[in-house]
Order: sequence, then C-alpha cells, then structure tokens
Amino acid sequence: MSARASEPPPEERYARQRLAWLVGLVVLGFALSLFLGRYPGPYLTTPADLRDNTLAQRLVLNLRLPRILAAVVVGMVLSASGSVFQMVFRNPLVDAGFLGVSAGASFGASLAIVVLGGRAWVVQGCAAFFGLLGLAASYLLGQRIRFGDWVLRLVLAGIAVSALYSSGAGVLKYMADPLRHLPDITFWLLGGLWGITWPDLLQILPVTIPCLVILYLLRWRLNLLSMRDETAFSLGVAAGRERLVLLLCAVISTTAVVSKAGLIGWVGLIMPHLARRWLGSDAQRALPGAMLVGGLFVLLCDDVARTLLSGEIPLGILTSFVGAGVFLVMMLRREWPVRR
Amino acid sequence: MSTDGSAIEIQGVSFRYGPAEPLVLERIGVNLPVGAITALLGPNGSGKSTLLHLLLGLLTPGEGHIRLLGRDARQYSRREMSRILGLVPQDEHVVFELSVLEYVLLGRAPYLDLLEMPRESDRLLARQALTTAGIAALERRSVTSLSGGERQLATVARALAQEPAILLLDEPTSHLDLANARRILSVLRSLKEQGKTIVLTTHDPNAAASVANHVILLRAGQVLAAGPTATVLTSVHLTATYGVEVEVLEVQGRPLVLTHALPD
Repeated sequence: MSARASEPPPEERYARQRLAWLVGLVVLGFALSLFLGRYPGPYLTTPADLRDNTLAQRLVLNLRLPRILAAVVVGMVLSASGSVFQMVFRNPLVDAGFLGVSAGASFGASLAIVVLGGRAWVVQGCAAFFGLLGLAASYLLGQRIRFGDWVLRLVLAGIAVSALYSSGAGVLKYMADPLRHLPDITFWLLGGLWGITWPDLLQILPVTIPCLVILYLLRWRLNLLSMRDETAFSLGVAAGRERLVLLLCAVISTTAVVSKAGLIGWVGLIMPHLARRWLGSDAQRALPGAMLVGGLFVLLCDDVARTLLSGEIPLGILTSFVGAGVFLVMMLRREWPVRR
Repeated sequence: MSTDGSAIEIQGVSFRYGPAEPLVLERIGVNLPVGAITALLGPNGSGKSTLLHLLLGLLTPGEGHIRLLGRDARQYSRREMSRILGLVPQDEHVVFELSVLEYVLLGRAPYLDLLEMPRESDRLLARQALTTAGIAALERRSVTSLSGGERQLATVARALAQEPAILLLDEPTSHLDLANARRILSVLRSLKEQGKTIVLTTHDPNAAASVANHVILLRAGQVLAAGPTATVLTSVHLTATYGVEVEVLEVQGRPLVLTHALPD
C-alpha cells in the first residue's frame, strides 16, 4: 500500500498515453496535409511532383505550409480559449463565439478596415480592443439579467452582445467601398484561411504563441479558478488577478486569430468537451488535450475546405456544421455535463 | 500558540456590509479554545456565516481585531492563512467532473507555486486526507456523481489536505440525513482527538450538542452566551435566542433540545 500510495491512479496514466497519441496524430496530420491540395492534380501531391515541378514546390512552401501551420494555431487558440472561458466562468456552455469576443473582434477588424485604413497592427489592436469590450459587456450584463441561472444568463448576455456587434458590422458593410473593403469584410463573416501567407502568420505568432505558453503553464490553476470565489480564497488563490491574466491571454490570442481567419465557430465550445471526455476534467491534462484536439480538428476541416471542391469552402461553415452536429449528438446522448 | 490556549481570539469585532447597512455583528469578544470543537450556534441571520467569513479573512472587521494562533490575523499573507485555516463551505457546487482525488489535490494549492503541479508527495497527503475522511475507496469517482454526504466528506478531505491547524465548517450537517450527519460528526470528533481546532456554524442546537465541547450562542449579531456546551445549552439561553419555548433534556449524558409540542 505505502509503495503505491503516491502513484497516480490508472486514469491518469491512460490520459498521458492518449495525450502522446494526440501529439502523434497532429504531427501525422500536419505531414499528410502537405501532400493534399488541388495542384498539380486534385487531392494528392506526390513526392515526384515535389521533386520535379518547381511551381508545386513553391506552392507548397509559400502557400500550403503557412496555411497548414495557421490552421493548427487557430484550432489550438480557439480551443484553449474556450476551455479557459468555460472554467473561469464556471459555465460549460460558453466559448469566444458565445461571449461577444469573436463578434467584437470581427467588428473591430471591419472598423479598422473601413475607417482606420487597415494596417495589420491597427486591425489586430482594434480586434483585441472590441473583443475585450465584448467580453466585459457580456459578463456585466450576465450578472444583471434577472432570470435564469448563471449558465443561461451568461449565454443570453453573450448572444445579445454578439448580435449588437453583428448589426454594427452590418452597418460597416453597408458603408464599405464595395470594391476595396467589402470582400475583406464578407470574408470575416464566413471565416477561412485562404489568404494566409507567411507574413500573415508571422503577424499572429508573436501574440498567440506567448498566450498559449502562459495558458499551458498556468493550466492547473484553472481547476482552482473553476471553484467558487469563497473556496478559491480559502485555498490562498488570488482569484481576481489570476482570472484576469488567463482571460487576457484567451481574449488577445482569440482576437489575433479572428483578425486573420475570421469567424470560425464552435471549435472553442465543442473541442474542450471532447478533450475532457477523453482525458478527464483536470485541466492539467484537459487543457493541452483541448489544444491538440482543436488544432487537429481545424487542420482536418481546412484540408477538406481547400481540397474537396474546385472552389474553396469557407472554413467557418465547415466547423459550424461539424461542431453543431457533435453538439446535438452529445445533447441527445445525455452526455452534456450541465448539472443542477 | 497563545498562552491562554486560544486558537482564535475575537476582540471587540463589529461588522456591517456597507456604510448605510445595519450592524451584522456588534462588538463580539470571545475566545475559541485550541484543540476543541466550537459551535457558532444561532438562528438564521444571526451573523454566524459573517463571523466565519471574518475568521477566514474573506471579510475584514470594521472595528476590533482577530488573532489567530496568537498573531494578529492581518499579519498573515493570504497564502499563510490558507495553510492555517481550511474551509468546508456550505454548499460546494462543482461544475466540472474532477475525480475525488483531483478535487482533494486542490487543497495542496497553498503549498504550490503558481507554475507548479501537484507532486507525488502531494498525492500521498491527499490520499491520507481521504483515508482520514473515510472515503479512500472513492478516489477515482467523479465528485459530481457523489451523494451529498460523500461530497461533504470529500470537501473535508480537501480542507485537510491544506494541513490546517484550524478547520472551519459552514453548516456542515444542515442538508444531510441522520446517518451522513453522524458520519461527518464522527470524522470531526476524531480530528479533534488528533489535536485540530474545529469551528463550525449551525442553526441546530442538537447538532451542536452532539459534537461540540464549546458553544458560542449568537443572536442578532451579539454573543448571548459562550462556554462549555452544557453551560450554554440551557432552556433559558435557547428560548431567548430562538424566541420559542425550548426545553433541554439530558439524554445519553448530553443535552437534547426540544421545542414545546404544537397544540393538537
């Protein structure tokens, strides 16, 4: 007994093995994605193409590689942020899309394009500012709504704030120059990675990588922050300060991603749940799990988006389609972990 | 430790929730003995929970001082406080399905730096706490799947993982059935025998009588009586506190509190 008393329970060992498998799957998916595309032929780019066809070489290096990397980063960020929002707000039904963060970011990005000239850092800064504003507005409204429990109130407030932002984005769309600005804005509302180049990627990596690293390092604290304030306090946690750091990382990385990739829905809501189901709810393993599952999911969806048809399918439409499907299956199988 | 054997000294403490609000506690001055089970007893709204939150440091007194283990409470950092005081809140609502062991490991937070994860030694202590609480067999279950009594014991184990000298419990038995309430109380009794100081709030005089050896009787924010259980739980005191006629019998060598029967 005493020899085993400090050993982890078997579930923890399985979860570690599954995490290792997930890492392997992401690497494998990444490698395979390099050989998927519409050029030279549809679907598969053979190693022979890469050896002989210089256009194919340039395409893979300059377009496909940054796009694949971006897909993984987008998925990791959205899913990690979703986990943070769910745990910090003690609410398994929220993600950036349900808290006014994504809508705020796309409104801010549109505003920057139409009114402020559209330089990259202005777009990102504007997206981050309005994303944070959206989160704050949803939270404060959620506290003041006069019916329903906390889970429902926060979701309702987030829906209202998102709708306000969407109508604002609609006005901007109406005002926008149909030739110069409108295509850019329409793109945000659909969400996709087709324009991503190395410079685009290099603009978001300096923001998203530090945020992901901070979230990863602080992941065990998320468990403490998912307790009530009274409990967190009694465990010596400076809950206000730690929540602020985690939320800032989640919002800033999300808005950076949204400013480049547009609205990619449901990833932040569903992927954390899948990760918890496979790895347990302890954020020590569930958070890295959510990052990996999210990265893999967006990577695969983007592969489909860019190869299935000769025209591009907007990525946001695909993730919403699959995400909503998974959501319905989970709800109908009564696996949804909302308890009263 | 202070010379007079008090774990907690409350000296002239008054508290109100806002400048325009009425006083919730008015010049409370009592000592809580070390190594004893003290019950803060009183009707709903008498200020017991507020007093508990003041002891925890979640609220700060408007007037007066609280001394913990002989030192002014304000001299402790929050982290130091969390190594001295463990809290079992009234209704711990856990949203995510942590396993019982993962849940109890949260009690190690006072000893872990910001970037640290629980280590083997923490797991060992968490398992010892589970054994003390009598639920070692449940460590792999999900906290959300436990019954009310089991969850309460898991929360006691989490507080014990903090290795506190003082354990605070807010209404620990108020929504438990007889058997589960007895289970909690027997765990508290054995913790007392190991030298822990235990403070619990309750509105039920019989819960206080069955486990506490020291009772502080609160009414409308003031201490009506304080001292050994048998001297405090008298029909005069309880009638004054609760505003109904109360009779105190002695059964099995301890007080049993009854209200007068309703007329037929």
